[in-house]
Amino acid sequence: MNIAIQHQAGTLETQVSQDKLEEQELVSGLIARNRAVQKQVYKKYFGKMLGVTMRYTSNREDAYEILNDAFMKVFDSIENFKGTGSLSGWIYRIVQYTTYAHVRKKYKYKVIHEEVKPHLITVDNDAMSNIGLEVIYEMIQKLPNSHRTVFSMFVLDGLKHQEIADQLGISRGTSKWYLAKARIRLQELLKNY
Amino acid sequence: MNSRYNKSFEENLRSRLNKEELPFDEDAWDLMESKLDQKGGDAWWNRSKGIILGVSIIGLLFIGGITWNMFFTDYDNQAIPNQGAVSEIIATDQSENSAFNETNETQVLEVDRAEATDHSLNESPSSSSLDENSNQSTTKESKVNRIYSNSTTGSAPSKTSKKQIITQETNAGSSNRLQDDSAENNMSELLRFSNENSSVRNKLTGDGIIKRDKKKIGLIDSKKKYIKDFSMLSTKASKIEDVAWMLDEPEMVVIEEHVDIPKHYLNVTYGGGMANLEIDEPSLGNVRPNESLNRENYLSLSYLYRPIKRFGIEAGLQVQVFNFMMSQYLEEGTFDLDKDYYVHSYPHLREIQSEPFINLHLYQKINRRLEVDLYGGFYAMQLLAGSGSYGSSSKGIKYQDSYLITHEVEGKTGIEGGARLKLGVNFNILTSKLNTVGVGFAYTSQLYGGPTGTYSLFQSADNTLGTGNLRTNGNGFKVQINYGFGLGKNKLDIRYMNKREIFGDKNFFVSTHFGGRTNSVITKLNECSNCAEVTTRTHPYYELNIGHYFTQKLAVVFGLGYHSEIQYTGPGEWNSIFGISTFNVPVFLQYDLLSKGKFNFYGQAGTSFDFRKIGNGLYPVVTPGLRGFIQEDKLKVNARLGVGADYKLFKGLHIGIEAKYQHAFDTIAEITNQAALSEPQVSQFSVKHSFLSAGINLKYLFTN
Repeated sequence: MNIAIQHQAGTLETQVSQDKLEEQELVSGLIARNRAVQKQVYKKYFGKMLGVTMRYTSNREDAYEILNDAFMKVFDSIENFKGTGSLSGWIYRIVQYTTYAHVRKKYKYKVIHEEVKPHLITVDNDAMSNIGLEVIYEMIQKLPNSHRTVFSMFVLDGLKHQEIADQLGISRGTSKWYLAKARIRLQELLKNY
Repeated sequence: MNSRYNKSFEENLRSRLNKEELPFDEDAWDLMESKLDQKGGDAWWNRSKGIILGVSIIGLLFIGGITWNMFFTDYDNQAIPNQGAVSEIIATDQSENSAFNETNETQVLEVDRAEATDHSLNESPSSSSLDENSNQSTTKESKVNRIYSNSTTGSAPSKTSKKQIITQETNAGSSNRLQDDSAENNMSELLRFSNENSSVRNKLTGDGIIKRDKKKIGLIDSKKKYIKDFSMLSTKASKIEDVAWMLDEPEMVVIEEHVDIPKHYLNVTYGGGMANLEIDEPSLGNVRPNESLNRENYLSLSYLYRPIKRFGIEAGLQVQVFNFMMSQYLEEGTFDLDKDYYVHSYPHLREIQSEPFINLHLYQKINRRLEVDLYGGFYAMQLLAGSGSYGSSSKGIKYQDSYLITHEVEGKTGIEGGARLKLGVNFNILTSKLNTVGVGFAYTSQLYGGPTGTYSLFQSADNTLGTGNLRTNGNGFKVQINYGFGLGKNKLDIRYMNKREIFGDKNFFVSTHFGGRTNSVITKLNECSNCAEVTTRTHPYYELNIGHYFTQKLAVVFGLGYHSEIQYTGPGEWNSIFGISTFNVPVFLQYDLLSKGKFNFYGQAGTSFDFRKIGNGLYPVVTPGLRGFIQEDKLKVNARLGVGADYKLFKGLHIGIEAKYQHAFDTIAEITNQAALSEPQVSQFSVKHSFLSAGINLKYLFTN
């Protein structure tokens, strides 16, 4: 049993070091501005990173644009990658901050003084699991820009209201209001699906 | 139940979106690739643009210089007004005597014969022919221009040149002409001898020989001495009697000398001014440090060749040192900091940079001592640097195990090291030894290259406040002073002074101003109930100006000023939070409104450029809890109006008072001040350099 665990640990260790080696090669290729490596990196992280931008935009074209802006930053500032964390984590943060910068600049937020009660979305989880990923993104993208932004930050990225307020330059109350409204709207969309 | 259900839905949603990936879309990569290609294309264009622009500008300047020279070959041949003491003493024909060969040593003896003599010749301005039978009654009108020249080249066709006159005279063929030819030959010999013996020539052409004061006797004596010396020299070459008549009638002789600027100069230039530190928005994190310092100082050594008076080409090497600083306040609690920190680093290269350069100059003479020099050139490559790359530097402030701020900078050598264009204006003053002292300003524009690097603001293993790219470049206005050592001056037979000194004709002045100015205009940009008011006090103001009179009343003035201020805020006691020192470059017109006796009353209008003195703008925390920083550091253009009066003490020295108002169109600085009171408050305010200043002037007025 112990041997099996040790063997498994050894295999895992080998896998990690191989991944690290592969990552180093990718980074070297990016530093050399190798187009083939750039495509390889783009392709590798495309699906995950597009999910980040899709949840903050109203259509796929905008999501591509932000994603490509973020990848330009990745390719331009690859020298800043110190290798202390994973490359995917580093790219993820760049994509996230680029998206945040976009929504901060592009979208307008009203100052809300209205108190709102937390709204609860009641959806059958089984039904939820049957909905395709593209459809989920489609529903999120149907939310108004500011509602979608707060909803994505709170629910999907796990930010607290104060952090959302800091990011968007709004008050905590406004953030709560947008979240509640987004939930109501999302529930309506899900019901109609 | 509902809550759990709700939470479960959102967790489920989060889980699915974070785990499941969307399929790759080749179209997205196509868009990405076109973006990458565009950037590559931009980089190529940026580099090519620099070279194309550089070559185009140099080409245009070259063509412009040649064209200018073709149309204006009379640089030294401007007709000198017949006025003042000269015309009181002797009548001269000014129509031709100022026609000089531009590139050769020339002296003119201009003779106006009061009576017709065997030597008298009449030259018609139109034909330049000799009139041997000139009427005695019109002797005042009859004039003889005897022009002696060892010139070997012709002058502009638009003027009747000396050579043409000589040629025409030689072809006339009269007996008197023969006699005159003899004198001409003799004098040519004398002059050649004089030119070969500069010590003798200097003796002949010294300031004291012909003083154009109103003492005629002294003038005539001096002139006689000159002619005698000339005659003595003539015995070495030919007959003395050919010039004997000059001794008999010295008042009929005018001796002129002209400036002949050396063709070769060795230039030393020192200057300084603004440069640029571009700090990008962070690619990771969301805090970008502030640019707090951007300065360039440079020193260059160059060789200047002036084949013609209006055009010069200069090549040399410039070494420069850039100083940049970026800074940021990190507040207590940011990533668990135990207190506030003001962090800064200096992303400049430790090594001295160097640029070979080539400049083309176009000159416009203002008067005999002053010329405007418009120049432009190409500065490229960092030659005196290590091979491959140079200047990487890094500096950081550590808190526990994390750097609060750090950076890395790297530059390249050779053709990739960078290229800049420079366009500038210098005002050159010619010294008595024909050296030049120039002051002026210039703008440099980075075409490509320049050191680039990265910054990191509070980067730990888990968190980053901000990391991104930075780059430096030498864009910006510079102020400079230049000294040119004229070479090969011993080949010149003349000095710059026009011996026909005219008293009382205003030429140019140098003045100094010592005074004070009122407060800057402080505007609060936000509401801050607990923040103390910002207050200022009066400040010193100094200025050095050089003015040139175009007419007896109107002068254009160019100068360099300096003023500083310290801004204060409360609460309770006075606490300084920052200071601003500013270089001021005024350019304005001055008009003498009323002159009576020794008093002169004048007005001024124009503009002035403010350069905030870099590196002296910030005292971040003098008193604990108060801090401020300047966010803006730009060149500002202001309007200026002034009045003054002065009194002539003696000779050219004047003392006076002057008051002026400067109106700023824009802010010179924006400051954030955070007062750490019981409840921290941040106030923001802007500073405009609109103020009144007044003080004492000392002026020296040079007259012709």
